[in-house]
Amino acid sequence: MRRLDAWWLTRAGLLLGLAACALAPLGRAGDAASRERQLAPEWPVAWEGRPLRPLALGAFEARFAARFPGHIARMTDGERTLVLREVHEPTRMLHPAADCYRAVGYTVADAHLERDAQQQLWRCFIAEREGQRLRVCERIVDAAGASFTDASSWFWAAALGQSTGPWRAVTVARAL
Amino acid sequence: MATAIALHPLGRWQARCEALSPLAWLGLQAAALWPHWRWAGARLADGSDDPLGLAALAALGVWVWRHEPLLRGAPRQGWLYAAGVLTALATLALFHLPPLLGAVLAVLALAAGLRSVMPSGQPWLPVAGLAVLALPVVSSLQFYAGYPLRLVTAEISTWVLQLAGLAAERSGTTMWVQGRQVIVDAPCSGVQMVWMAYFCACVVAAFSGVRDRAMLARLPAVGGAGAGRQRAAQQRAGRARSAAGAGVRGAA
Repeated sequence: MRRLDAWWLTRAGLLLGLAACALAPLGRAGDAASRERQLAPEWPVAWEGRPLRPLALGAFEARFAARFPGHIARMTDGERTLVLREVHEPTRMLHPAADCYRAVGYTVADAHLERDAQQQLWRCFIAEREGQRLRVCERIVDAAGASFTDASSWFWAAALGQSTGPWRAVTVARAL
Repeated sequence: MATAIALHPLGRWQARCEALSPLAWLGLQAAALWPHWRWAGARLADGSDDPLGLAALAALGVWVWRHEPLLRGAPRQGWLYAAGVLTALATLALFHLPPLLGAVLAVLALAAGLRSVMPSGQPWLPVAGLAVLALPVVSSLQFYAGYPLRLVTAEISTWVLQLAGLAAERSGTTMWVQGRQVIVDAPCSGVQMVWMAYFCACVVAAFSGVRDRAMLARLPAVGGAGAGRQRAAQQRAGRARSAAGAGVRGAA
């Protein structure tokens, strides 16, 4: 039998360690969201004077909502689709809407800022998939009414205590 | 010539261990870190992040393929232990840290493993840099670093405009230039440009054999140059929009 040198034992230990690392994640519990359930917010019943009716979340949105540390609602005024996301703490999970649209296969173009009739600032872009074009606008509003047009500026304002929650991200999509 | 054949099972295992090539060891280490690659693949496939990392991954693959014949059969023990510790930390990170941080630990573990078998005199920092850049980091960088970078962009742009004799003031990421509002928008943060600058620096350094110390000394300038190019482009775009007389400006 060959003499077992220290170097070979090191290698054998390394192999066992690598096997343990490969198997350890299998013992993980599922990705169940361990979050404190806040009371569901009161969603608006009208948007710019038009009544809103709730819509069921799509398959992708339902999967995302299962891990989202807040609440999500999808509504329509008959012409536009609104997605409202509410969170009580700064979180990476409040993705920019453009990321969500890319994730479901849309190409995103023509991102720009614009003001609406009430002089509120929105980030808007055109999302396109299989010939279907949508004009999507989004903003994040805090409890004091201050608004943010991108997730990064919202995150830092929320994390540094310069903005108070709950925060509501409003995404409005209209077919072109 | 006579060949010694191990008859004891332990001896046979020892022979198998010794027969493993350096690349096979790296493959085993990569296999042990499989959850991180699964996460990175899913992030890449869902389209929510720019697939820039594929370019870094390709460059890294070419580098390893070109240097494979030069890899050492006997690893440097210090780096091998570092690779083992980082692999264990990356596994623990699966339970306690966000996926991206865990994946960064995983690629650093692999980079340390590669360092242990790399030939002497070869640069390691650019290779480790390419490994980190291969991860889907752009979206997270936009989220976390986008706003601070835009603050810097707005501040420097305000100074430049003031030096040019224009009445300019900064308020957050908004500038008031001669009474008109100019918003330094998300695309102006320069995250992608900085990523590209570091990617180019790592590729050039890895394939031209720039020493780690020399690369380390130049790294801050690389980031500054990338962000500077972005700002110059945005200011040109801003001037073009000013000429067009747009009300609210956010470069896209």
